[in-house]
Amino acid sequence: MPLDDPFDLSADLPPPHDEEPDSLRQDILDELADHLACALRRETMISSDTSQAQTNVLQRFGNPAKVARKLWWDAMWEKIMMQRITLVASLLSVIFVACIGVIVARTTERVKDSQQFLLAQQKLFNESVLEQLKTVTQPNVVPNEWVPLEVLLRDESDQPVQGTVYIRTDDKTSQHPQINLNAKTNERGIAQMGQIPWGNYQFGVVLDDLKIQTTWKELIRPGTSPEMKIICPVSVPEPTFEAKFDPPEELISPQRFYLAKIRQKLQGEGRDWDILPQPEVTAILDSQGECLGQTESSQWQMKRMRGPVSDGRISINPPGSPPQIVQDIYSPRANVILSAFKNSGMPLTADNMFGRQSPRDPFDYEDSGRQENGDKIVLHSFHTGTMKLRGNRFQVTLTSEFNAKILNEDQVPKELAQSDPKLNFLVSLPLLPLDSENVARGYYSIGLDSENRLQLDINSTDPVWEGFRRESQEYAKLFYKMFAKKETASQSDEFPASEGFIRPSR
Amino acid sequence: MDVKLLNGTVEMMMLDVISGGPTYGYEIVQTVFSRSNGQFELKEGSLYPALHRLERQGFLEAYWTEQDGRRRKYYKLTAAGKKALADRRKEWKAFSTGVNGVLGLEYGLT
Repeated sequence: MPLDDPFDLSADLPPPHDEEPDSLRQDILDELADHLACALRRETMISSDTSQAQTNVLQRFGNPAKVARKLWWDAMWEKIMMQRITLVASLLSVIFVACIGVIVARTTERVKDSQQFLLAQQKLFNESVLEQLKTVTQPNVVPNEWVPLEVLLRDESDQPVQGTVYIRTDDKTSQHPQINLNAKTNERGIAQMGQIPWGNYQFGVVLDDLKIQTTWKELIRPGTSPEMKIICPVSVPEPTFEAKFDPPEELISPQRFYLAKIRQKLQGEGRDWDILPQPEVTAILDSQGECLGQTESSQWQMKRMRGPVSDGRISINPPGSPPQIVQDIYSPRANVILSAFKNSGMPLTADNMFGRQSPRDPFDYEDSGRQENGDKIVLHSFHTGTMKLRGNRFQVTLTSEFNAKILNEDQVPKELAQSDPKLNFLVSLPLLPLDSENVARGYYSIGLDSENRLQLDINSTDPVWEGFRRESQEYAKLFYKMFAKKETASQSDEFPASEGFIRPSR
Repeated sequence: MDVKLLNGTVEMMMLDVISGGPTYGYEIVQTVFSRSNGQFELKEGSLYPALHRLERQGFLEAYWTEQDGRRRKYYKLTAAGKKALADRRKEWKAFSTGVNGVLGLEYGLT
């Protein structure tokens, strides 16, 4: 028994614990040691035998080591138990998670086996269905009434021609799918268009080498020949414009002049071919059908256009290379505008030229304009504008075909409105706008005064109209030449290069 | 004597001894032995688990002092300990009165 601990108090104490308070162990030992020391002192006073005194103390106290152990356990019991409970709970959680994992793994394995089984069953089923389908006749994907179509491009000697064929549905209400096909011809000149449903279609053939195209409409229905043969030109001839011009007597005198833009068309095997891009010529004709000039940009050659007089018609219908007049023909001296010669052979009489009061007159044009006042006429759909008669002066103001806005009187430039009142006519044409929103900002005017002197006014201050100014000068040259030739022999054939108002010398 | 009855009685006596002022384990044992005229001569070691239990229950609070070169732990009664002592006194009085009545001790019967 050690001297400092005669009762060996710490003999049964458990080893130090992690959560044990620092002073717990020592506090227990000190408290019990104090008690035993007090008791030993008392016993020693009673009995001088120290050994007997210790024996008596232990007999009265009990086993000090066991008491110390009990005190330690009482103090630590709750913490130790909580630790053990936590440990057990953790172990149980791990075991639980492990069990869940095992269950999930086994379940997954079973599901996988089930899926593989189902897939195997499905595969067997699919194979059996495929076997059955092989024995069944395949239905037609395309309905029977659809027409297989191929377009053959040939020249007059039946040689293949290379080109592109396109087909587009021409009936928006068709219940069939809307068709929009393009196909190039193969080396045999055949464009395979596939099967086409019943309906109306617009066809087109483009010959890239010649830069020409033709279009037509066709009804495709059951029974339509699956082979469509198009005879194509092999070259584009140099066009020669010949106009058949048979004016009635009242149009011959007084003399009139006509301004026309003419576009070339080819004809072959009853089919019209458009030239891409369409060449265009602007020509001046007199009332005798004689060409007085043309724009310098044109490569066309104008020939004298005079045909036999017949039943009061003006016809511009040259054989061989028929042009299509796409712009108005103006008759500046007769206070009349010949509008929209869209078709050759259109009837035109003195009455409907001079007596035109309503847009519903016999003129064969697409009249989308209107008549506002007695002296205001809105022109056809290609151009809108006004025409005014002021004394012996005639003024036409046109806006472009893209512009629906009509120029009012107060919009006419003052210098134009206040020009020489002796002029017996004045034609004022617009400089075309650059887009559909703009109104023409410039004008050129040309006319003859009462003494047949040429008056020309090019009025444009905006630099962006420079291109149109040049075009206007082209027109002016034509007029100048026209009048110089027919009316004013004293005029110089050279057109003055200066801009602005030009008043030729007498 | 019944152990449960004895434990409850010992704790009540310990609280009562401590209610007289701060004291320590050996002194409590001697006081109980003295007041009981030697009737409660228990194992002294069994006192300390009871003291520590009462301390954990909040009926006692302790502090340390130095005495003769040794550390000595003194106990004193808390407010909760005072209330617990009062309650147990009432219970004991009712109990002892009932027991004495049954046994005829209250009227000097033997």
